[in-house]
Amino acid sequence: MDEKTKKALMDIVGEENFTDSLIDLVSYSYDASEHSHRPSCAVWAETPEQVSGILKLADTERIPVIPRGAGTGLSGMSVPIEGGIVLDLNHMNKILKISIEDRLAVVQPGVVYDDLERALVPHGFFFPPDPASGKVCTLGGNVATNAGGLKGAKYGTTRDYVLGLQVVLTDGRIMRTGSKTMKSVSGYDMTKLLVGSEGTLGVITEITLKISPKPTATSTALATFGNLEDAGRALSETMYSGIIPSALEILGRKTILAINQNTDLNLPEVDAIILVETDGYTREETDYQMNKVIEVFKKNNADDIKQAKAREEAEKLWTARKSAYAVLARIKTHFVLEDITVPMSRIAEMLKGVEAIAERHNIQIATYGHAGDGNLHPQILYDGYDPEQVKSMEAATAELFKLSIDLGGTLTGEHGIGLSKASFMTLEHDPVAMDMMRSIKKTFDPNNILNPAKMGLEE
Amino acid sequence: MISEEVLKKITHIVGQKHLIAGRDELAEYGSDATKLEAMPDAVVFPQDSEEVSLILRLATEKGFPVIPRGAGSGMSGGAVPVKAGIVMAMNRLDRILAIDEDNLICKVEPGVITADLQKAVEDIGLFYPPDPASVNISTIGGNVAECAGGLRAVKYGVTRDYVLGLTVVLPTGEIINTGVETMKGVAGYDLTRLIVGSEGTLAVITAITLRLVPKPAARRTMSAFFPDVSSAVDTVSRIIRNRIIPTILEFLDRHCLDCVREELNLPIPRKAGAMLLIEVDGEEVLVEQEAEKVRSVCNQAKAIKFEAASGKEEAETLWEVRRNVSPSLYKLRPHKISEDIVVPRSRMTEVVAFLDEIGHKYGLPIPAFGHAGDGNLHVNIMLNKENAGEMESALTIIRALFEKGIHMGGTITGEHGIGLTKAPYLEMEIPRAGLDLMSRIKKAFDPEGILNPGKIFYQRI
Repeated sequence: MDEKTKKALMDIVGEENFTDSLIDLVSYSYDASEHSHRPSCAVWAETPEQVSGILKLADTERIPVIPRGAGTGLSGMSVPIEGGIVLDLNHMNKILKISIEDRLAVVQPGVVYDDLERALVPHGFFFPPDPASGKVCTLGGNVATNAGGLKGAKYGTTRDYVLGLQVVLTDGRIMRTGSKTMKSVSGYDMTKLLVGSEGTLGVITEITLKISPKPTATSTALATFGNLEDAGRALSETMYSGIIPSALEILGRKTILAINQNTDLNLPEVDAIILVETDGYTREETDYQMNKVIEVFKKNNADDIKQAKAREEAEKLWTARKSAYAVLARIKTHFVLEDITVPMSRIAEMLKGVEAIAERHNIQIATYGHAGDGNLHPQILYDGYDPEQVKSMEAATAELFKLSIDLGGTLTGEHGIGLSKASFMTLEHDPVAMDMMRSIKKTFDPNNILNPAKMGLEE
Repeated sequence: MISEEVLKKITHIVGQKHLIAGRDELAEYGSDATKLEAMPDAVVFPQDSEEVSLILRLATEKGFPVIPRGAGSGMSGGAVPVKAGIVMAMNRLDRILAIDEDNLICKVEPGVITADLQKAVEDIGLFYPPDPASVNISTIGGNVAECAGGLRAVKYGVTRDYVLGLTVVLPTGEIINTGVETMKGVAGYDLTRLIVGSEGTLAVITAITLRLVPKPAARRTMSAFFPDVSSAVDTVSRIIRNRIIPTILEFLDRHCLDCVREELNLPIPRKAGAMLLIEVDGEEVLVEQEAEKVRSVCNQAKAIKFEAASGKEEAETLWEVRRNVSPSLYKLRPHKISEDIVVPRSRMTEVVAFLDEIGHKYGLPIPAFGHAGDGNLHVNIMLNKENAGEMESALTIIRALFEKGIHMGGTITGEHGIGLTKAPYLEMEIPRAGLDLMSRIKKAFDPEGILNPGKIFYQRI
């Protein structure tokens, strides 16, 4: 980066908010995916006007700008793969307004998910999507990637809660979309178009979110199934029963074995474990729902059902699910976490397919995920220093995607396309749909400076 | 005017039987619920995506307008062929293609009547929640194109929240699938939700995948009368603060209550300045508890009268007031201009007070009712359209109302859409940069501008 541009950036954000020191550039070179590449510099913006100045400059100079939240993304969307300026939004971290009467919160993009949660607790409200990275991830990142989480089956994903945005466009204009109300049909839905666009269309500088009353009671149970078909049917029938659990998670056999080898949880080594949680305002209410779910499980040949009697017991049951990612991550030097989503009735088939793929490529794949919305996370474990295994991982990944699409599913339920899935976009979208997305990208960002090379939009 | 040659080509595509070009029959397809009228050149009834594709390709080549049409029940002129051309009536694509109980989704063609779909899924214990007031005649395709709302939006959301995927034909003739058949997906830009609510200006929808939910086991209907608007609005806030999200939270102001009382002689307290109609649904036991909480909130808020229906019939009686509002308003004036603004819920009292004041100033009654749970107010400016002075006052009132609503962080339309009637006002709400992007998106989809011209983007005609 030339001195003139550096100076211009410093003029916009202040010298203290600019860095091109090696240690910072290395820190900004990666996220939670397997990709990495160093940027030329990073800046912290504090106002929409600064963001506007940065984009105007970058657009004129044709320098890539990579907006960044906490860098917890799993598919490489905040990796500056073509260098350029990392635009760190963590300094814009104020909760601007919480209005319970209007059922909304207005926040800056750098607010950490859990900080908003804590601010809402005294009001008895919450922002439900609950991504696994909630302790560190930012709301701006959640919106840019349309983050989902454990509560998706009952409460939906980030998209369902975004009412309006303030965004800065690449020509520097600051624009509001949506409204501060529960609904609007005024013109095209620019808000929903920006949600999940992975920082490729505009930089989000303010978010208006719908919030929901937070249930105060939960019931939790864990059921084991001797075969996958029974587990699959139990899931479908649960969702059909009239009860929508607040969480409905599944662990496959490989995951269970790995957890047992690496912890002292002593889970029964079966084909599938389903963890279910119901929520409400009284224990009576949540137990009533749980009993209905358990009836469905029994009818579908659950072997063993453990119901938590108290909070500590519930937490113990949850440990099994919550330890999966970390336990599996330690088994080999490298892993990739996939994020396919299939229709609920195809979960059993998908799990079997995953096993077959693992066997065919002689590689370890352990699966768990949000069964309530069909979102499965196969975690492929491999040795990244062994070219053979890397090849197997890549071949297995491609087959997973193909199987998901064949079963009527999608490449990604909540992690996004980013770099990791860019080359698979055409598996899911036909050439005309790809063309439409490219035209939209061009409309917003004619010079392709915003987060370039992501989402498979470049031909 | 479309040439004989083009008409012949279209006839060749759909067959003689499925094209209307005679003036008498055309009139029916030249209007919608706004009563605005314009004459199309012809009406065509395609039977599948391929026929739609051939017609659109021809339209892009020859440059004639195509106006997709469902039931013509729209409230903003979206289906009125202001630039003539071909009305593309989707009524023949009226099959429910699949209801998948295991995955809680269904796939339908656009011409399915919304109420028919609701009945079909309810028969097997499922539920499609969006219910615009026109549910008995409106089509799913129209609902999706307009992003229709309805009474249950406060708990269940609007049409957008149920559309998972679409098959659409682009103005250039390509057929594409958008979205997913799963509960979620984030692969690429959300073309599905870009097309939802685009009022037939981006593409013609030929199939829709919708999310369903289990049918709630029970519901309780309640009504409460309050001395004034502020105590009713305060009650709405208290209900929400008590962490109850009712299925329905309808509001009626004093003008509405007076009209219904006089027309139907219903037992509405004379002192009542506002009414709330409240419905909760869910599992039997839980519904009982919620209804009890609602009762105690209403009493704390000094409701003059509170009633809870114990059965379906009693619930119907409570509904009678709400159902009869719209027709009974005509006793005030022969014509009505309905607006559809949304404001943050806490500002509703202010809006109603503003309406009283401005109505008084211009001598026009402005009754308001609507979906209090969403802050969506249906504002009815009552007037005699033949009276030029009243018409002019009404336009002044509309502009002032929109200014007020937008200033509060609201929107000029919650569920009716922009269409023709609100197109001149869109720039009050959407900033220049937003309008620019929207018109560029329109251009990317529809380079020749053949699809539903004159809508959303204001053009002097």
